[in-house]
Amino acid sequence: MISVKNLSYWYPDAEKPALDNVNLEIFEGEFVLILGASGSGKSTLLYALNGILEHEIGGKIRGHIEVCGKNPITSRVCDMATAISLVMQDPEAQLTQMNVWDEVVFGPENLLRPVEEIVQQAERALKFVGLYDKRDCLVTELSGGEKQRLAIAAALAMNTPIIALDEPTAHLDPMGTKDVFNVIKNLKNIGKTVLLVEHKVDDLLDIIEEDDRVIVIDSGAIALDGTVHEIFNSHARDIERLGLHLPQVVEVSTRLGIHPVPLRMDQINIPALPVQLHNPEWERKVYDPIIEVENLDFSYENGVQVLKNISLKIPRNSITALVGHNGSGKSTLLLNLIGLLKPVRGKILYEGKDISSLNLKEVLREIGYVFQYPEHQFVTKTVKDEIEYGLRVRNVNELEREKRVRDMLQMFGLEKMVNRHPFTLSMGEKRRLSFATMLVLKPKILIMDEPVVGQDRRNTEYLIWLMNKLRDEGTTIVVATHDMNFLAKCADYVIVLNGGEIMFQGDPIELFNNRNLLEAACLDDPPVHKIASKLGYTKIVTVEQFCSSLIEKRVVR
Amino acid sequence: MSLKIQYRPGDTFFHRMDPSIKFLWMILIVFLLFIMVDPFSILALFLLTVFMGKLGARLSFIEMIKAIGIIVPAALTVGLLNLFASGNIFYATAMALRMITVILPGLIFSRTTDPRRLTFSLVQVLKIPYMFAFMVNMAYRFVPIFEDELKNIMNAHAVRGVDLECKGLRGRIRKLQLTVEPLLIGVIRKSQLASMAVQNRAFGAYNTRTYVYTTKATFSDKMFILLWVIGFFMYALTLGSPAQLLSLFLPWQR
Repeated sequence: MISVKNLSYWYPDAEKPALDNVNLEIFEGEFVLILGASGSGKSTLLYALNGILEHEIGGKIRGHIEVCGKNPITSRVCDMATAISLVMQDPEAQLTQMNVWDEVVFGPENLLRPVEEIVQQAERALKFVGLYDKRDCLVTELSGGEKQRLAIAAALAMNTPIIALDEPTAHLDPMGTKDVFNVIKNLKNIGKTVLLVEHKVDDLLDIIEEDDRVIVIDSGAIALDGTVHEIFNSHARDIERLGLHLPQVVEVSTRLGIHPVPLRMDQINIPALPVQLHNPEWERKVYDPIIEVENLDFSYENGVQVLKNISLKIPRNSITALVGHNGSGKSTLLLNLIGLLKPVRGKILYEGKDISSLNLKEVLREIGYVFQYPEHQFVTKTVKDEIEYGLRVRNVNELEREKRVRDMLQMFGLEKMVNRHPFTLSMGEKRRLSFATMLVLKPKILIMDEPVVGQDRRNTEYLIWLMNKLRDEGTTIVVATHDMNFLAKCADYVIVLNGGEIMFQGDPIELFNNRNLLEAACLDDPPVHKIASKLGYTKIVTVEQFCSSLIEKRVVR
Repeated sequence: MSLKIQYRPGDTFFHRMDPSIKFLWMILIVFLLFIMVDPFSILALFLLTVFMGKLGARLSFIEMIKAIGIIVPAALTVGLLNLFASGNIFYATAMALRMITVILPGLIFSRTTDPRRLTFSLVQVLKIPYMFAFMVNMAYRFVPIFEDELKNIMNAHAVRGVDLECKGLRGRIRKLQLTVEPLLIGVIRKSQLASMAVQNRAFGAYNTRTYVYTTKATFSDKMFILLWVIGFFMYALTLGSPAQLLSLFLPWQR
C-alpha cells in the first residue's frame, strides 16, 4: 500500500537531512504507530507521503515513494487526497469551514462526487465520530476533542484507504484524548490503514494490540521497526534511550524483569499486600501559604462567568499543580493571580498583601510567568538581549546584568547561540530561553501554563528536574497541566478546577485515591497507581516508587 | 456597551433575501449617494434606509444610532471643511449626510447575512470563482483565532515588562510594533497549515465543485433589485442626460 525506498529529504536551507535514507513498506489494513522525539522527522515522513512536503514546503527530496500506486513527488497534492488523508495536530488550523456539516462535505465536494453520495458519506462519517447531533453547530462552538473528531470525520468522508494522524491529541485533555482514541480504534476496526504519530503512549494501550506495528524514528532514520510485542519486549531500553515515553506497564515490566511484557496493568502478576488498606487516613498537612485567594469571581466583558467563588492557598516553596480539563478556567485563574485580569469579586493575597493594591510592575517583581507558546513572549532580536530585557527595563545596573545573563546562558545551555534570533531556535531551545527570561529576574513564584503539551520524554524530564531544583532553591512553582503522569511525578500540592469551581485542593495522592472526584473532574490517575492501589499500595503514583517499593518488600526480585 | 455589527440569526425580509442580491442593493445605494447632490434627496434616502432597517431587518433604532454615531465626528469634520472651502451650505450638508447614510445599508447587510450563505451565494448566484470565495470565507473564519492570539501575545509581553519600556504615545506604538512579528509568524504558520489541510481535502482539484448546500435568488429577490435599478435610473435621468451621468462615473472623460 505504501512503499518508500531510499527516501532522503532536506528542508529548504537545511544542511542536515530531516529524513535520512528511509526504507519502509506498509501493507493494507495495518495499524502503524510512529514514535520519535521532537524534531526526529516523524511528521516530516507523513507530509512526504501525501505530497505536501514536495509541493508546499519545497526543499530537496531523493528516493522513491509510492502510495496506493501514486507517486506523491510527481502527483499534485489534491490528487494524493484520494489516496491518503491527513489529520493534523492543531485543531484550529485544519478546520477551514464555518460549521460542522460544511467541514465534512467540503472534501467530497471538491472531488465532484454526486450530492446524494456526499450526503450519505458525510452522515456516516459524522455518526462514526459521534458528532451527528452537532452537525449544524459552528466549528467554534466545539471543544478541542470534538474539533479533532471532526477533522477525522472530514478525513473519513474523503473515503481514502489510508488515514494518517499527526499527534491528533497533543492539545487535548484526558477526556478529549480518550474520545479521539476511541474513534481511531474504530478506524482500525473498519479496515483503514492507519498511521499514527503519538506521544501519549499510556492512553494508546487501550487501542493497540500485540501484533500492531511500531516504527521508531530517530534523527530522520528508522531506528526500530517491528510489532508492538517485539518492540516492547526487546527494545524498551532503546526507546527510553532515544528520549521517548514508554507506557508505564512496559516500564514496570522492564524494570522488574517481567516477560513477556503485558499491555495491560492488570496482566502484571504480582501478589497483593497481605493487608489491604481500604480507607487510608490522610494526614492533614499544615501548609504555609504564599498566595491566598478568597471568594474570587471572574467574568469576561461579554458576561460569561469563568471563575466562581474560588478560595485557595498556594503553599510556599512547593510545586503546586493546577489541573482541570480544557476550558475549566485554569489560564484565567493564573492571569488573575498576576493581576492581568481583574476579578469582579474577591481578594488575592500575596504574602498577606492584597494584590489589587500593587501595580503590575510590583507584582511582576515577585512572580514570573511562562506562557504556553514561548514565541509569544519574545520581544528582542537576539538571545542575549532577550534574557537581558527584563533587567534592562527594570534599570538593573550593567555589571549585575552581565553576571545574571551569563549565569542564565550557562544554566540553560544557550551560550553558543547568544546572537541568534529567538524565533530561529528549536522548540526546546525556545522553551529554555523563555525560562531564562523569567528566572533571570529571580522571581519568588514561577507560574507555568501547560509546559508539557506535546513534549517528549527528554524535555519533560528536563522540566521536572528544573522545577525540583528551583523549588529546592526556594522558589514556589505553580503549573497548569492536564498531564496526570507529569502531575504524579512532580507536584507536592494539587488544585482541581472544574467548570470554574474548585473541586479539590491538597495532596495529589489523596486526589488519585478519590475515584469519584477524578471522574467528576474528567481526570484519570496514572496507570501505575491503578495497579498499585489494587495491590494495596495506595500511596504509590510513579513507576519509580512502585518498582523500588516492590523490590524493597521483596515481592519481586 | 459596544457596537455589534456581526450576523444575528433571524427571519426577516433581509434575512431571507439572497446575500448576493443584498450585496448588489448595497452597492446600488452607494452609487445613488454618489450621484445625489441635493441634501433633501439624500435625507429622503436616509429615511428610507432607516425605515427599511427597522421594518425589513428588525434593527432597533438604538443600534442604528450607535452605528451612525461612529461616523458622525468624521461626517461633521468633512461637512465643516467643505463649508469653509466652498461656502455652500447645501453642498456641505450633502457631503456629511452622504457619509452618515452609507453606514446603514452596511449595517443591514452585516446584521442579516450569514457569512456561510454569503460564500455559497457569491459562487452560485454571482458566479464568482470558487477559489476566491472560499479563501475569503477561510480568512473570515480565522479572524477570531487571531484576535485570541493577539490577546495572548499582549499578555505575554505585559509579563515581560513591556509596559515599563513603552510609555506614552510613542510607547503605545512601539508596543503594537512588538506584537507584529509574533502575530505574523502565527498567521503565516496557521495559513500554511490551513493551505495544507484544504489541499489534502482536494481543494482546487477541478475547475468546479459540487455543492450540497444550494442557494439561489428567488423571484421576489430579483424583483426587489430590479425595482431599485429602475428607481436608480429614473432618479438619474431627472439629473441630466445619460451622457452627463456617465461622465460622473468616468471623470477622466470630462
